Amino acid sequence: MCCWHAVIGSLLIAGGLHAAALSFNDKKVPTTQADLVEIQNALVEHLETARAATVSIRIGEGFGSGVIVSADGLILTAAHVTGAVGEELTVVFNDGTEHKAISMGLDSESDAGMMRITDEGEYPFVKINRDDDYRLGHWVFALGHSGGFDQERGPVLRLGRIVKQDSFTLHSDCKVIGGDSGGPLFDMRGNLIGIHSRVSYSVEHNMHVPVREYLTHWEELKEDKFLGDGPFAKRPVKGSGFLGFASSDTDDGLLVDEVLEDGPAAEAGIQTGDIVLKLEGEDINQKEDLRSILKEKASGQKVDIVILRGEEQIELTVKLGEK
Amino acid sequence: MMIFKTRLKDFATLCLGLSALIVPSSLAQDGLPADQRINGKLVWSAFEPQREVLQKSSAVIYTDEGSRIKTLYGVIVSEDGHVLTKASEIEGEECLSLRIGSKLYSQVEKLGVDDDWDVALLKITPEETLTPVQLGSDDDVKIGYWVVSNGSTTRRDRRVRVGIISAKTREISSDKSDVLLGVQLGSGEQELWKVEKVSDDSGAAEAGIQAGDVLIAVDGVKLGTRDDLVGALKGKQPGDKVSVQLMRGSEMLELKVSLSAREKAFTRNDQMSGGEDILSARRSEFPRVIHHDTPLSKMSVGGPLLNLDGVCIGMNIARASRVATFAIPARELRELIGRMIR
Repeated sequence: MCCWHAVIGSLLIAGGLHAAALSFNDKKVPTTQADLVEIQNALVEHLETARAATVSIRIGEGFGSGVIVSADGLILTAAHVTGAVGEELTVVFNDGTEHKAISMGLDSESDAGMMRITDEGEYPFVKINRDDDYRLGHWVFALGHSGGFDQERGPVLRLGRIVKQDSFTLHSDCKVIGGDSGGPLFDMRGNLIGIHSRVSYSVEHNMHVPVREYLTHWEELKEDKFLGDGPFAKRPVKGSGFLGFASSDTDDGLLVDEVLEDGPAAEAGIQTGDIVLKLEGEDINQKEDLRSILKEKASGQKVDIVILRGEEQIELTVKLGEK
Repeated sequence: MMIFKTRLKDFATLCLGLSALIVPSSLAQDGLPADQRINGKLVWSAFEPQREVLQKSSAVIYTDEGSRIKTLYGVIVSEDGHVLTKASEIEGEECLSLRIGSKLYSQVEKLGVDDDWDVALLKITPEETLTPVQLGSDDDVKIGYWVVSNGSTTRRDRRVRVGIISAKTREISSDKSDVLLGVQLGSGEQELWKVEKVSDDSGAAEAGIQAGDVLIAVDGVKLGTRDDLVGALKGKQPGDKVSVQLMRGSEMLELKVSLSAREKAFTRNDQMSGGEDILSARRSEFPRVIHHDTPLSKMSVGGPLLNLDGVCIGMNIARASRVATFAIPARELRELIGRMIR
């Protein structure tokens, strides 16, 4: 008996650090009931944690999904879900609880996006696969809020295998659909390996951003950088943003003469007669001051503005419109 | 509208609310061989015990005279030839025949229909005792568990399609209301009922609703969650008028809004799901369904949903979308069988 122990002992050491060997990943296909049960058990083991961290994301009229990867609410999602840096979004948990979030950096070429919950709290999260050991044929599972958030239903689970990998993209036969964008793809240890991006007509062709893309650009994503030139997000064009009011230089300062109805300034609450004191923290004395700051801003970006109305100084935020 | 360069191949983005171009796939067939994919032939071989249950206890249903083109499947529920199937797919069909194993039965009686569940009870006279399915219970249904369904078929052999249970068993009510006010509402907890935009030519525009208004109630129904609006509009027809209470600044107003029809345009998710060729026509309004990810089509529902033990945990009743197939749970099947086989 002691020689068996020695053999088994050395096999475990040779196998590496992972406690549970996923033997089904080494087989071409499962062949026995035991193989099928092994896959099922691995899936069920990690399901609760994975589901708890899979959130629905609301942005404007659109929906997507995301996955929480840190206790303080860092979320990985798709670039085409957030669409831009600094966007306000709402995160919906499975019990219907909502939290405010803000988008961070994105890679418009790979479709990688990052965001974080701005409400302080401790959130359920999953681990990212940093070993880069996900391979063709490996069994994987997908979660997401297909078609939008549905509290009765919960996030939707799918099982499949990695069917292809190429630059920027991981392909699986886990079926995904509108609303799943930004949701997670896991290996059978429950570690995050991909984020859902897009599909083709065939149910077999489902495409995900491999998590290695996020790891490669981690610092840039955290630092709110916009990477790449599309197609998954449009790079903001400097100087394309406009405020939506006409103004003139007066002895009292920059006076708002006319506010465009339903324009960005009107939405923000700027009124005719206001004096513009500051824009983005910079003192404004004349129209030229405004222009030099706006030159650097793109449509969709938010700017802080301080105006004088009568005796009162009011702080407002304007979301720049498209010229 | 985002246009995608061909170097990225052709695809549709998954984010609802963003428009995208959907074009046919031109992906080369490299990568994992087709027969090793989750619904590839080699993986199916592992499900032989479950296939044998389908071989004995499922029926192939034909509506054509030559009994060659399968319309859908059925579940054998008694030894003397009672078969359940999806009622709406065989409605009005005169020429029903069915196959069990390799035996064809041309004398098929339709004994009854249950509209709530969209189930029809058929009866044949078998020459030998049939093997009905062994019905399971709700305890057998767990998210993440393998399920096996009828896939394709030959005249002799039933084949499988496999998947897993995807989500919670629940009611599937009709998708959305058929009418709308004509406003786009805000996001975020504070902005849930703030009007972001009023659609041109809508009832809301005509009634004088403006961007910036905050909706308070519709026909007296206070608006708390999004569902409250769906509830307030349920059962209404285009042209019906509803009274909308709103705040404009510090002013409370009440306006009468004429409801418009929601365009029954094909949703993008329906397109991504293969459209009317693949999806079951009746795919909602079921009191309770099991939700799994097996890629069936409207022509492969109707048969049993088996677990790894070969136990029938449900009857496939609808291909609902690219990611969802619905099945009636065994518990309700038992009740249906009890009621319909008097």
